[in-house]
Amino acid sequence: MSKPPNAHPIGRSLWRIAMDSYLRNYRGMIGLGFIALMMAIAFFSPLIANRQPIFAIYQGKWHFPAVVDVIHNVPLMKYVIQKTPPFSQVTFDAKTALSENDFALWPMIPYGPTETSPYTLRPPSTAHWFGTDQNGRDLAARMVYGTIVSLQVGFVSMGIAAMIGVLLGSLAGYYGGWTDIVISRVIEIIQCFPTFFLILAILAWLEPSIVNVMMVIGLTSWTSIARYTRGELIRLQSSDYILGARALGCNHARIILVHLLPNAMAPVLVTITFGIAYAILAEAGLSWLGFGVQQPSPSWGNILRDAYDQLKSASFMVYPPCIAIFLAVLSYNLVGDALRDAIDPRLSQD
Amino acid sequence: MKSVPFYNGSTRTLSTLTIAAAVCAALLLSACTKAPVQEESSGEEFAYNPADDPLVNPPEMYQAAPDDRSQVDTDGTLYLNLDGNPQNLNPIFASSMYEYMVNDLTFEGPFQFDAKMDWTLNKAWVDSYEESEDHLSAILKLKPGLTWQDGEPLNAHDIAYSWKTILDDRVPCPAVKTGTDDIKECVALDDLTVKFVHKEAVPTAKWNVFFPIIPKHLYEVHQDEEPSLQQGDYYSELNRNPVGSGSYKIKEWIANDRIVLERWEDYPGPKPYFKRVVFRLIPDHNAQLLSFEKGDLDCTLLSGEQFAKQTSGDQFASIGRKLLQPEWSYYYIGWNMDGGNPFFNDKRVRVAMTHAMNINLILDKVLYNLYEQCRGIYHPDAWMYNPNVELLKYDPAKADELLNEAGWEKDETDGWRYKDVDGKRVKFEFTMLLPQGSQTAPQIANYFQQDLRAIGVDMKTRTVEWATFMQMTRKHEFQAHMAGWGTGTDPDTGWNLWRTEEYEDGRNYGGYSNPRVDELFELGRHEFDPDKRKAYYQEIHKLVYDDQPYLFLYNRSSTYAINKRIRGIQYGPRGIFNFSPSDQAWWTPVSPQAAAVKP
Repeated sequence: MSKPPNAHPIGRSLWRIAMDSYLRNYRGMIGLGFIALMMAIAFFSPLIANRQPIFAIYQGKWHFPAVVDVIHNVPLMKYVIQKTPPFSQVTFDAKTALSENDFALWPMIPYGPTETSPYTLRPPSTAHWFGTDQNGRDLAARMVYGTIVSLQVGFVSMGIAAMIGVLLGSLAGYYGGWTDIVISRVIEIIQCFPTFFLILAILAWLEPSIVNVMMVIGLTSWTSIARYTRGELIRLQSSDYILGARALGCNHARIILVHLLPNAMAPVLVTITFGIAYAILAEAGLSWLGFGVQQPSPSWGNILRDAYDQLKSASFMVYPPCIAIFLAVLSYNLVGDALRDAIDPRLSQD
Repeated sequence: MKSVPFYNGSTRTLSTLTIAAAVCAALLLSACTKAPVQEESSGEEFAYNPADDPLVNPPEMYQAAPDDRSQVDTDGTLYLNLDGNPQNLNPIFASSMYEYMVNDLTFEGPFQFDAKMDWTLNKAWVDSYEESEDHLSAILKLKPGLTWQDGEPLNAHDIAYSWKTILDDRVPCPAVKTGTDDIKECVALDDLTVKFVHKEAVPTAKWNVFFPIIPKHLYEVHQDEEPSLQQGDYYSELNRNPVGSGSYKIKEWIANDRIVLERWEDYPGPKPYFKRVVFRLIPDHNAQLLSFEKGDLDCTLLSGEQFAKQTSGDQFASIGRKLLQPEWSYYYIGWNMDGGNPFFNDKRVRVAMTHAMNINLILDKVLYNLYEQCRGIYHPDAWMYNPNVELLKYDPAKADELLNEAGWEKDETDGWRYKDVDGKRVKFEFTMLLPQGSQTAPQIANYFQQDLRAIGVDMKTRTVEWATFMQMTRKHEFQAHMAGWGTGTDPDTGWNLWRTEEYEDGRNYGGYSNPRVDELFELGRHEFDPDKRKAYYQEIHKLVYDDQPYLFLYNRSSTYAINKRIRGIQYGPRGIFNFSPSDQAWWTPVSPQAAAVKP
């Protein structure tokens, strides 16, 4: 059965070739694996860290409070399934209410991300894996829930950036002429501003919140996506199949959406991947400065801020957010690198 | 048919996914074996107690200078810190701490605050000061022979000129205008005599004469061309390098680095002990403490965290001591009672909020036992404080009871509290406004949030930038907000905080209204008998505390690191600066060790 790889040069699409090459890039796979792990942690965060048990037999009845929390991560499921009383009551403290006769299966971090305690600034121990912060909150629980923010920021802000960038880039690249001149100059003007300062300047006018941070990062980092899209479209315009599509009488929208963009997406995807890494870093920076996610909600950036304030007395707090940010940014960069290697035929070793 | 290389790749994908799945499963499995949570024993619990800290308030820190100046090092330099650059150093334009810190040393007037914030006369300047019988006017007689730092005579005309300039609409100095504009007239009867006429005969009128005095002979020169006294080369230079009347002269100002002052040897009053005062511009708190430990600063403000945890090491002990003294300022959570929300109009709800907060935990964990629980709008050390106020304690059961009484019943399913308001079921859910940049406010909010959750009240927080925060509170666009007031030394400063009619334009942000309080403020304002005034304001103190328009959090304290060679520190309701003599009375003994500390 086994044949040399080039035995079937026809019949393999560009995507298939790229995927093939990507899968053989172990660094890219490590990056992808870590991102997948982050996603799993984010989605299953209520099972990993929760102030209520995963499963409990309380006064003879079965309850699954943390499982319901996970189900609630799916949109609209809130209205379909609810926790059973008394676990549904916020005032119910499972830790003190459960007696000897009850059974409970606890998450491995039995604390919520905003749950305060009198046990402040405890160094790492078996009870608190990463220690506790200045409000006695479990750092591990906060790190777990901070993952959600980092993922959200990366994908939402780059989603916004990609929409704007691809739209403007394809208009400029396809129509050329004045459209191109105007859009290109706008891109150049925006690129003149250092992005982080632009973000800071805009955020000074807005209320600090994660939604605003995502919007602002998205609205300021679309320029390179637009430029890549424009360049690709200009390059592809002269291809035979576009000429063919024109000859068949396809309208502009169809040519752009069906014929040009799918073929131009590959380099844009690489830019987006690097953009996500940048967005995570930017969010951490903004939260550190107090513009991003607001206390008591956790994000890696504001955990780092708390750690900075306690640097002299509780230095252990610094490591988890730093390492997490480093690994997340590194993973996206590895993925981006691998992706670029995979889709650029000039770098292909086949 | 699939190609072979693809098959190889997909195994790898599979294996990666398998590993990821295995890791997740392992995480979950490890949870299965874990027993239900056991909270740690509280035996080794950290609780900072300043009373047990040997570095806090050593007696020599407060020791006054000996009469014999030969025992004092009169050739030394005092290094102080400024968080930011002053705008300029003309005292009539001062509006921030940075400017006051410098101006207090370079400018003086006929009247002074002492450490207790009492009204006193500057003995070096004033021969006599007499108020008329009807309390409407006063005559000030200056001593002859006073001069400015450039040697020109300083007299009554400078005072009259300063008053006129401050009230000139073309001069932008809003901070100094308030109060000064309550003086109807300020005229120089001759070179040494000034007559003040007040608009109204009230006991607080005497505070209005505290406006800064600037040299007429320098400022009137180009006033016709440049009436703002701010623009143009002449005034820019003069405001940057003004000729003052205080005990120190400005020698050098390097922006973003330092301001150097040198003692004015012809100063008529008691001469300060340090030959030079250097203000270093260091904005960051961590950097300030590092500079202090290196000996580059003699005095720096400490955060609670720094005071309790970062200054206990040998390095700090070898160079510094800590000062902890009460200040007359308090922090609070203000409720909006104007009817815009269905919660806080009800006094029972407000009292329940206070009972719900575990204030002792906050004082211990967030504030390191450096501050006292606030006992109302006046500080316990103040004469207008009412000792009969009964302090509300942490009592969740009581809070529960009061909320039930007020109609906020716990829901059986979700545990939050609800009430039927005008036929609609309303959840007890409110948002607290927090100012950006505070380190303690979000921590307090977080603890309070958990306390409220335990009694079924949902509190959210919203952090906004300071200017927006001010604007929103002024427009009553909040349900609750956390902030603080520095209490004035005279209780009349609460005039625009608590009276009903101050809701519109004043600072009665929450819409507090109590007719008796309104009446008492009116009575207190026009009463000259100190005993009667005291009775009025004590009654206000009790009424306001009982109404709980605020959840009173804590009184702040001064928390400073002071180099151990420094002596003679005085403190008062506003801390250790901004009164007379303050840092002008600080001194260091002559000794080889003391000299060796500073290169």
